[in-house]
Amino acid sequence: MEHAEVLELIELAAVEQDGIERLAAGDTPEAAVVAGHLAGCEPCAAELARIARTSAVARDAIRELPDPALRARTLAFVREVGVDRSARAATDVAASLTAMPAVERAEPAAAVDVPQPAAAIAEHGVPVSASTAAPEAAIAPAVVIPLRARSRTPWWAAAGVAAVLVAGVAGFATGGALRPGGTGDEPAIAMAAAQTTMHIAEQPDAVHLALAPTGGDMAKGTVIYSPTTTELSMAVSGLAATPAGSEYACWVEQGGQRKRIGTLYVEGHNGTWAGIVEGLASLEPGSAFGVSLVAAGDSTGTPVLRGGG
Amino acid sequence: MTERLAYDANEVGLVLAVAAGSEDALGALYDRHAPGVHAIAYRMTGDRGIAEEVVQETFLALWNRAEAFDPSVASLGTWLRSIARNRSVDRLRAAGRRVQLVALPGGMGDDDPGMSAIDRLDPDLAVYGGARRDPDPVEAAEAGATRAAIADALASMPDEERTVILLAYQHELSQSEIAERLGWPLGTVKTRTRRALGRLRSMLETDGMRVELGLGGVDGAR
Repeated sequence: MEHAEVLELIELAAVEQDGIERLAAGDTPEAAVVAGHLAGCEPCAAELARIARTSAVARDAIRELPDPALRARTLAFVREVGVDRSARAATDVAASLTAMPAVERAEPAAAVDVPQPAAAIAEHGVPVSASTAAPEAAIAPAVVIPLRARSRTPWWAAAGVAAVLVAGVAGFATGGALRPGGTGDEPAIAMAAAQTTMHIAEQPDAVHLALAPTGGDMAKGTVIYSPTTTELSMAVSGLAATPAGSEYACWVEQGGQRKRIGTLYVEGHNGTWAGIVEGLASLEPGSAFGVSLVAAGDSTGTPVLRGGG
Repeated sequence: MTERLAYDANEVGLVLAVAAGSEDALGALYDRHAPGVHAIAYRMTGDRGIAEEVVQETFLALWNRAEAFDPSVASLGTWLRSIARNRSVDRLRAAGRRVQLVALPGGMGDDDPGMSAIDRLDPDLAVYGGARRDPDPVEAAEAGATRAAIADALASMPDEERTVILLAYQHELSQSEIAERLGWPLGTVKTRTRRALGRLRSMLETDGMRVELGLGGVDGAR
């Protein structure tokens, strides 16, 4: 029997349950011929061992893989018996987004955070009053583009529009993309945040930072941003319940000035925020990011997370 | 490490999206975690039908209880696998079969020796008092990488080749049985089987997989 014939028989046997064992046992005329060949052919014997190992690994892994059709069945199952979250269905949100002008959702520039000297915050652990704040740092005004606009408007186009709207405003404008309050946009907001994070992670210049609690809280978080695309995403876990009348604000701190960039969208103890923040391309070394608990509508509060710097 | 940060952040975002009612996010998380969840269920039950039911119930739990997920306690993958273990045990008990617990990992919370792994899952599916890693993270990661690589290889195969290899490995059919089921000539089945195996071999026998396979660079007959 030629090597090629033996190899074919080995391969076909390897795919069948216990096929190699039956072949090696030589208890059929064909198997006996193969066994005889293997006894005197070291390369073919080595190949048998390799195929047997590879096939065993493949068999175990493939057995454990779910049927591709299970995905659709699982989603249908969840749709049928899962809790009704239809009030927040993404499709409905998407429809509502189409009807909303992109530029409407940028919050008023008046929500710009009060400047905070980094040194004072580091020393006291709490924000200082505006009267003691350092002068406005010479950083480029940042604009946060609501993610809801991204579904139909290229971010760079939306950024251009919004930049015009807030022209002349120093500092970072407050983002309106990720906000609590049950507006019905939550699915799109959270999904957009996740998608933005994935997009940022694909950028060659993506910067990753960990957020650590400023006190004894259990909270922790991550920041990822791209200076090139100026997209930034925060994800936070372990947050204390948001007190009534309060919210968690995200901020960037550069040159001793802290600028609020948005409001965390919070579910349970987890929060996320993502948006486009102009000025990221020119961030100086030592810039920091963080989250503060602030009174709703206010611009100062207690930092709970901080990273970088 | 930095990739891990981004991955975790992304997962938190997807879970939030699920909590907010996004089926797309649920689908994205299914794509990431269903292989691991199914693997646990299949290993515990040895039954593909039950394993599939466990997968469905696990993602139903994610949908219903997304707010309960706390990434500061456990990764999402660990949380889902814990649910799958719990559901698998339920199924085995319901079927009157002996339950063989798959140990949850050690770590915080292991100071209570009277607490079984399953006991650490509260009725709301929140994991508490237990660490959240597999017994051997390296081994688990390698197994996951192998599953992912094989899944990719299967996805890139022509449909005919994927069909025969799945029937052979998942349904344990012989080539003759595959030929009969599909109505294909036996020779065709054999040819497609060999091609499929060849694709899997070329993927698995790359340098990155040699250690796991114990190949170590040994040259074969070819």
